[in-house]
Amino acid sequence: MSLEYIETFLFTAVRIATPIMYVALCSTIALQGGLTNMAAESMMLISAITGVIFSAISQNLLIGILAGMMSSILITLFLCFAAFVMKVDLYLMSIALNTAMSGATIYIMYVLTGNKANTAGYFASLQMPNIQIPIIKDIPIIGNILSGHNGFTYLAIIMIFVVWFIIFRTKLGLRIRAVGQNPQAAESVGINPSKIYTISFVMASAIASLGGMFLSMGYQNMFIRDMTGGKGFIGMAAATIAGASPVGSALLAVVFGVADAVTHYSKLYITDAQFLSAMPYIITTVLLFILSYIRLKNSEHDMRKRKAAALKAHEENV
Amino acid sequence: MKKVQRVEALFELLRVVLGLVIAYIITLVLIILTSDVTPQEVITNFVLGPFTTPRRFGQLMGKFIPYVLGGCGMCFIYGCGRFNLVGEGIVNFAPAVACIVLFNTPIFNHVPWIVGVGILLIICCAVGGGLAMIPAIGREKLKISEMVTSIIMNYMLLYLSLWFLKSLFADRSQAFLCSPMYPENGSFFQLIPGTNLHAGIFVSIIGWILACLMFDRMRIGVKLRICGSNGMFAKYSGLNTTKIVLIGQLIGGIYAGAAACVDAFGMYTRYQYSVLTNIGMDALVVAVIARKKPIYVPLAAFVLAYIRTSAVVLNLSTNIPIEFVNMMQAVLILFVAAQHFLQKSKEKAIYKISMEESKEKGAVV
Amino acid sequence: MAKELLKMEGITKIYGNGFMANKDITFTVNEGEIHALLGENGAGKTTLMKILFGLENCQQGKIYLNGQEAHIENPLDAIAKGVGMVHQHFMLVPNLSVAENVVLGIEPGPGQIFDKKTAVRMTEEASEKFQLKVDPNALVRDISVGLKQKVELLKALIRGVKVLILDEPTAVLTPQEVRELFVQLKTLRENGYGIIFISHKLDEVMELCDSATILRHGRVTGFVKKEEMNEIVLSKLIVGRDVVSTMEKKESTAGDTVLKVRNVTYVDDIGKKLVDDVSFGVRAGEIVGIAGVEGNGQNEISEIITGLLHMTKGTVSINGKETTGLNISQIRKLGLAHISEDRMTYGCAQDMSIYDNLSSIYLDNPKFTKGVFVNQKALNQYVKDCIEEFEIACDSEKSPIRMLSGGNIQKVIVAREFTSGANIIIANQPTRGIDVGTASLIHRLLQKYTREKGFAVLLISSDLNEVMNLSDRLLIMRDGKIAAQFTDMKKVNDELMGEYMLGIKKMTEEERGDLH
Repeated sequence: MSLEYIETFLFTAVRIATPIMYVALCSTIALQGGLTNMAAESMMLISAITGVIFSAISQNLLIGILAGMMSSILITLFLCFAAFVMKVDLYLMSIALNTAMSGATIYIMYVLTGNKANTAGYFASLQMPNIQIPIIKDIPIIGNILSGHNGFTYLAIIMIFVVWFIIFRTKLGLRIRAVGQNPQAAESVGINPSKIYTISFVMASAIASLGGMFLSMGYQNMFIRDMTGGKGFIGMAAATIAGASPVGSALLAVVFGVADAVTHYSKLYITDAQFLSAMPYIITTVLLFILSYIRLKNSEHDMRKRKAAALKAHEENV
Repeated sequence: MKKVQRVEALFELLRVVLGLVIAYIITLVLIILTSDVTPQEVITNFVLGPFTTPRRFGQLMGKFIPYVLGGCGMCFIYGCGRFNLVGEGIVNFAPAVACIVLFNTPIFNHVPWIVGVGILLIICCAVGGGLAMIPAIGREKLKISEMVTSIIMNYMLLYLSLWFLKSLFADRSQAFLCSPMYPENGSFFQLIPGTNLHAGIFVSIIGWILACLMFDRMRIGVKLRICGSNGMFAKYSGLNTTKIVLIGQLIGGIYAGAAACVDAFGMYTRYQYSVLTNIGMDALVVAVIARKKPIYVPLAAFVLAYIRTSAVVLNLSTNIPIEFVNMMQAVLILFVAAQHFLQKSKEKAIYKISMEESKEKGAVV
Repeated sequence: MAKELLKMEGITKIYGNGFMANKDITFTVNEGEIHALLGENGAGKTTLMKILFGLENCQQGKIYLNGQEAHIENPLDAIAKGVGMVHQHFMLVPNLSVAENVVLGIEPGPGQIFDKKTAVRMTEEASEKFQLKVDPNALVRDISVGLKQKVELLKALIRGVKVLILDEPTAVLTPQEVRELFVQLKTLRENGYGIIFISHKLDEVMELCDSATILRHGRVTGFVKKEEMNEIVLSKLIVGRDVVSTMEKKESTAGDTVLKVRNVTYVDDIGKKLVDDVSFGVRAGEIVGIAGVEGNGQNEISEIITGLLHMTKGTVSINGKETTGLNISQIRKLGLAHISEDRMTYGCAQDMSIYDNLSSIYLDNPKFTKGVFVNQKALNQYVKDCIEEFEIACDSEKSPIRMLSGGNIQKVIVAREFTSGANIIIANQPTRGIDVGTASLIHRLLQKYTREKGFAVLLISSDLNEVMNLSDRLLIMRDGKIAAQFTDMKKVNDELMGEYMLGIKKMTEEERGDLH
């Protein structure tokens, strides 16, 4: 295996990790607010197609991205309306929304282009350029792995910091965490949980939309039906496993990216490509079980310790 | 008080029917507005389409058959308050396992139809039940969200079944990835030749009756409903809630396995799933429309199968993508599952009745 | 004359179901005063404080703050107008630091940025000023209960409130922490704060409070100044009976001890001893009552016997068999039935039918099952019999139980538990919040089943009328221990009971006699 080969492999891993990283960050915000974001797939799909359409019409990348983001926020507001105003079960509605958006994007594509598979050749949509990073690009090996990625990839890395900052350094973040752990406590000091849930979901949807647009305007320059292919759920699992830590979720996204890259590259040599495709999901499930087991045991242990300490303190007092 | 009860039932029904009607109208209007299809075409194809030829009606029944089984299964899972969605992956995976037995062992060489189909059904149900237990145990023992596990598992099962297909029983002579033709004793024959109405319907009927019996008449059903309605009360009554919730999900998985069996060995002549079928998710929609009661499942399954077949018919004659009906589902769920939809009118109606009743009583006294 | 900080005038509150929780209550708190609010559970204290804190609205009455009429819409409004509340169950976020909890909702910092350093400084300053020592950087989940309460106090004080409501603040504290709290509260009093102190513990009230208002059945029954305060006066005002009703009672012919509680101790998750080495027994054919101020371990006793709660030490035996290691269903099979105090949480499933609610405990009973099936015929007959015998008013046994009145729901529960084949019944607050007719029916049934069928009944109630009328033997619980036993009910009166319940008097072991 040549060095060049390893370089391209790691480069691919970073590229594959990009959308998962966005979803993981998006799920992190929702999880900090105490809810699981099951609708990341919808958010990505709708923004992926909207971004393509608007960038093609306006021939302005920024307008395309903003339009994509708006579309994602709009359907999230619909989701929040259904869940917090109409009181539909949030998860039921999220699942229904995922199915709906899969259909809606295909339908929109069909109405506008007559094609049901992709938008290639119909839309002269724009693409986020790849960016060479000065200095880093000249470092051997590292330069080849870390430089020359799509703009969305670098934006994702910036987003890790942004999400971390929002959650741990802003007033809103404090309120999101408070609502996530004890909604009644938040309510008792005048914070409205439904409002916080909605705000956190809207922020989550903005981040997820970038992941969606990476697919259709970064990695590809067209919209392909169902192009998210379950990435929304992998990201959600990554955030769950990482215990809603922004940095942890992003790192796990990279781990999944590497696992996926292994799959891609091994397909050339191993005929059991389908088994390899299943690998990331098997790893996710196993990780989920192992980490939950460890976490449960730890919390039980802490509980016992705290109770014993309290009992001792009590007896000393009496 | 009886009147109040009747009003409650009426509003429940109204919510479902109104939800359906609203979703239906929105979809129709949307199609007419956005495509160049005339309203007349839409009505003949989308509204009446499924009933125009026996073949189309057969197609509807072909979808109806697995929906009934899947829907019954989701009633048990959703009924005890769990969001275990592994049914979606079971639909792909369980028949793949059955295919290994079908094509890679000599068992099917000389068995009669009834035994062959029985074996397939048992394998699918066993696999389905077993798979459903993974997210279920994760939830009850380790507190992992069963929703997250089951959704991740769906993708895992999709690829694993493709792997089985490709490496163990693929028909290399075909241009696309599929198994050889099913033998006669390994498939549900068509009841009306040339249509999708196949013998799997008997499995659905038996499954439905069994589900109704279990839900209403058997001990496990009553226990399950108590757990779903109020877990604390279940505990106080001496029920083992963890065990019951696990059994509920096991039953759900078994039903998903049965749905998989009738779909894979009834609708098709070869195993050829290459993507997730959405039957598992549709089963959830069926259970929601049926208000988690198996007795209403056939009705709900028929409605959903009808809508889906309509879309296929419309697609064939006008090229409008089938997937647009997926949008309809979201609207449907919004109205059918919304606790606040029609809530105010219902409260008003009940208030009015109780006022009248108390007046009447007052007059008597 | 001290300045009047708060005045509630003529407060009347009627709940949706017609229950009058407060009737024409007038209540004042002066600057630099600790004012006790006393009364039994259900006397209306909580409702009154909820109205003051903006959690409930009232039909009549006015609230004045600093002499100005105030309309309090919600808790935020209450805080803004200077009323703060420390809830009995803390309203804290476990994974946030002390400082973050203190400033939640009024976070410092420019724009949207949360300035953690300022938050810590604010907390430190406040903790200095009010003599409430906390570590601003510690996570709330890691600190002791006493410290958590200080955080709650800081939360209110930092928002500039002048009137503080403390809802049973000492219930969760160790004696040492209680002493510390009192020092802090006295400091606050010197600084001109007005404190409303809700408690059941008279010694605490007498030590700390300057005056006390006593409620009973939603009305003010007394106002006492510090000089006039003594235990006898207070306990009379708290537990005095309004209506004295008596019941015909046949002589008890008690048999063997069928329910035995031996050396039971229960320590909760935060290390507090809620039941302390309790032993007693109930004999067949007698009703043993347990009275006591709520929160003295009666609930825990009932949950331990029925298996909902696991005791830390001790044994319970039912009809001669120990329950250690058994689950609820096995305990029920030994011959135990349970009427829970929390009807809607434990007693029934609201959305299910009367039929299903009656059958919930029979699903493994051979009499009502046929293999995997429920025996419809037997169950139908049973449900019919229950509806008849227990006079359950309903249109159909298939209608959801939530459509019934509270009394009828309780009848369903009583019917199920009485006829379950058990011979021991734990009846916890069996008539709380239900109509007089149903209550007397339940009383008659309790009598009938003990006298005629030899049932053993453990009756836990905060209704003194009820325990005095029904019990053949009466135990009084205080601080997780049995403080007294009365075997001759003729010698018992409410004053005497009150003295034991509130800890003024205590029986020695000899005086208590044989607890069986």
